[in-house]
Amino acid sequence: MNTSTPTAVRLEARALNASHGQLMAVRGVSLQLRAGEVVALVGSNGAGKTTLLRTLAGVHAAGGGSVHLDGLDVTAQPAHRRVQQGLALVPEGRRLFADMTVRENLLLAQEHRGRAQGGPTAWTIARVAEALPALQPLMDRPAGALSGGQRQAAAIARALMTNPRVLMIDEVSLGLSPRAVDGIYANLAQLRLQAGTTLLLVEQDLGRAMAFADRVLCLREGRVVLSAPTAGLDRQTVTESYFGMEHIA
Amino acid sequence: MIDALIQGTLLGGYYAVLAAGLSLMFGVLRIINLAHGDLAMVGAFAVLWLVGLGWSTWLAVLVTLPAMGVVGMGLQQWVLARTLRAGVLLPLLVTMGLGALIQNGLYGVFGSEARSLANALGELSWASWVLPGDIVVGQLPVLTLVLGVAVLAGLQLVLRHTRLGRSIRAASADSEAAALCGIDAAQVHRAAAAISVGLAALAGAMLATRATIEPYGGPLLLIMAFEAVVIGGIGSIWGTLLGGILLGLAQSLGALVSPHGFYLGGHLLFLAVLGGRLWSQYRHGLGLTIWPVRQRSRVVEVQP
Repeated sequence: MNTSTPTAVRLEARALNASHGQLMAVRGVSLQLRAGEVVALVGSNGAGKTTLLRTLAGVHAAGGGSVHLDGLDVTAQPAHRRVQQGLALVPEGRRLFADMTVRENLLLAQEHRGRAQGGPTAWTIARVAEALPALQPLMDRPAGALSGGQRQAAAIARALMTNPRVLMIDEVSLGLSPRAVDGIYANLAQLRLQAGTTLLLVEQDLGRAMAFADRVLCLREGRVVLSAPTAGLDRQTVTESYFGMEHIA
Repeated sequence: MIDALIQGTLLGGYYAVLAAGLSLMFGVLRIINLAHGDLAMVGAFAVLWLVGLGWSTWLAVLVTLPAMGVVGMGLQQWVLARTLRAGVLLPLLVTMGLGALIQNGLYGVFGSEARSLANALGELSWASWVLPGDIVVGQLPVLTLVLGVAVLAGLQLVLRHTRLGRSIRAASADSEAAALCGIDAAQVHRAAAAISVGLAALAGAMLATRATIEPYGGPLLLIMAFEAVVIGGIGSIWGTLLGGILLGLAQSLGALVSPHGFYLGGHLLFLAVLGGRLWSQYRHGLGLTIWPVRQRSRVVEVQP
């Protein structure tokens, strides 16, 4: 599945802008995510994290700049084409199809993934159920009847079924119990080892983000104000960037 | 009385097919297609024209349905998808205008004369069974009901168990989430429009076999479809069938009361159900809308 060298740039944004009407939510964001890298995107409410992910995924129109997946400019491509090329988003609220069973939700993603995303190493329902064992007894249950943690697991599973090279997850732990969050991160750690998928996670819990990710990107008022490897990075530095206290300190 | 109940039930199959197309178009595309009845008329006149060329009725229907499906795809691709970008009002106006265009087009080509396929069907158009109690049941109305139920069952199977059906259900529920699964919403919308217009054409052909059709008859069909959808509830195939049957029953019972009561009976049932639904929504604080629409987002069309 992952055929590139470990340092190859998987996903790149160049001077990306996005707005909600008159409000500029993402301002000239440039970033690079490398193959197999895990990046935590942090920032206060309204910093532009969700808009950035949605713009990268193609469900929010970019107002300027470009998005590149494995060197290919995908800025003009609609969301479903980006998915078929290996860029998946687990959106905020999970957005499962409540009237369908978990299996049907997964099947939908499998049926529509790109041809290049298939092959013998592609995710199957059986493999996903093995990787996310909590889903096994839930396969034939309507997605609308799942708990928050189960919904999150099902949404991640659905995104995996598209066989992503880059998986973006918005608000990994929002609204989940600590136990459910532990479960989700245990699953993500397993996926990281097994699949080598590049992960971009929006996470409000700074401690967890720094413990899990290789690198932290901090967004404030739509701009990247910090991009640093988590190794050797202290929480104080991230907090100052998060709240814009660099100058006060 | 029993005869009226039987006739009303049999009429329900035709109404259900007519309404299913309108319901599907609204459920997936969020468009109330005011040209739906006129498209049914186009289907009916297309079958009539082919029969006039010497084709058998069944072959004419089999050719017309996919052809009308292609018309539906084109309509979605070139007209409806563009109008949807301008909000919810424009599709209403455009489909209303399209309906007027179709009516006048049909009038220009076929004239104002009322026509029927009854003659082409020969004995089937008047053949009947006599049940105990001297109740006469026409074979054609029974066939229409059976065909209607079979078509709706087929549609239900497609929606439940096929890739296309799952895509339609997904795009109908949340088109943005569908796109994030790799589903091309535009393609799904074209498929839904094709099925919708195909169903309208089948309903038009059904009508032409048992009654007369004329170029300006589309709006009446639209009202019947609208009433059946509201009575049965949107989003359920079997609800649509129930709505069609209840509408047919109300009309048949209305005709028992007065010769002019046929349509009135249906309208009164529609108003009663509509009033009940609105009252129920009002009591639950959901506001006053005829067709409650779940909040959903649309996919941004990224332009190169």
